[in-house]
Amino acid sequence: MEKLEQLEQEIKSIKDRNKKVEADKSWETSLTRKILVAILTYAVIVIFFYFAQLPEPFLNAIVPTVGFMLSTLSIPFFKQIWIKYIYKK
Amino acid sequence: MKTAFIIHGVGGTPQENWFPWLKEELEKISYQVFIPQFPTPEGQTLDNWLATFKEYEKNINAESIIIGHSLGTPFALAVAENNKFKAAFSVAGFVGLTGNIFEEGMKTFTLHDFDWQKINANCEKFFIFDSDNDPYVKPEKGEQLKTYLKNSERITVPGAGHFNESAGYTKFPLILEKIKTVF
Repeated sequence: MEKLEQLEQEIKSIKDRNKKVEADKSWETSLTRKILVAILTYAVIVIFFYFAQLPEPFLNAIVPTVGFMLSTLSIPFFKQIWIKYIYKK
Repeated sequence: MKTAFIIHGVGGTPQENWFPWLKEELEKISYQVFIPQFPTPEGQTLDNWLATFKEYEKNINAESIIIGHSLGTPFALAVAENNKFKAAFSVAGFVGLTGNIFEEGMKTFTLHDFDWQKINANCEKFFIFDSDNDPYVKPEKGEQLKTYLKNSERITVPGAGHFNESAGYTKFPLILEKIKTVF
């Protein structure tokens, strides 16, 4: 293959890869994903509480779900602190 | 002494396309021919290319011609802003955005603010070669160049693609013919 065509192919591959990475990144930071994680977390805890015969599974599952979501959502904040004060050193 | 400068395009080398053939043909008619290797695709900026060309500038004289292929055209025009040439040749050349896949890496050249007045004053004659099936450069680009370059002749070659090896251009007799008309 000649050089210009080879270069064209390489740029096309990089662009395709970038498109895929951008789509992945958008999904990772999307509200849809956050809501879905919250719903699935809640459902799993409810099912566990139900079969473990714990009281009020629908109500009691809210607390660990909220806790899980808060810890998950606050990770980017701690990530920034880690990058600023630990990673750069 | 007559000198000629052949400027390659994106990802180009002095050994590709019709460059070695033209060098040989021009040497037969007493030209001293220079085909610099410019940084590409890494380091492909107008400033880097101008810096590379610095060492060749001492060979420019009243009998010099410059030939730009593809991205070599906006570069040749940038050189012509500050140097006098007997003639300048654009092959599959362009200025401004092209919309092709190489766009990003060419912007320092294509979006350069060309001083057309100086370029026209510094070059006696321009020849613009374009084709009707260039996969990278639209035919309008040839027309656009013609509007900027006063004493210019536009030659549209049917089916010449990008005037590169893929299009079968390892020889380019038509440009040699036009070069011979310069003196």
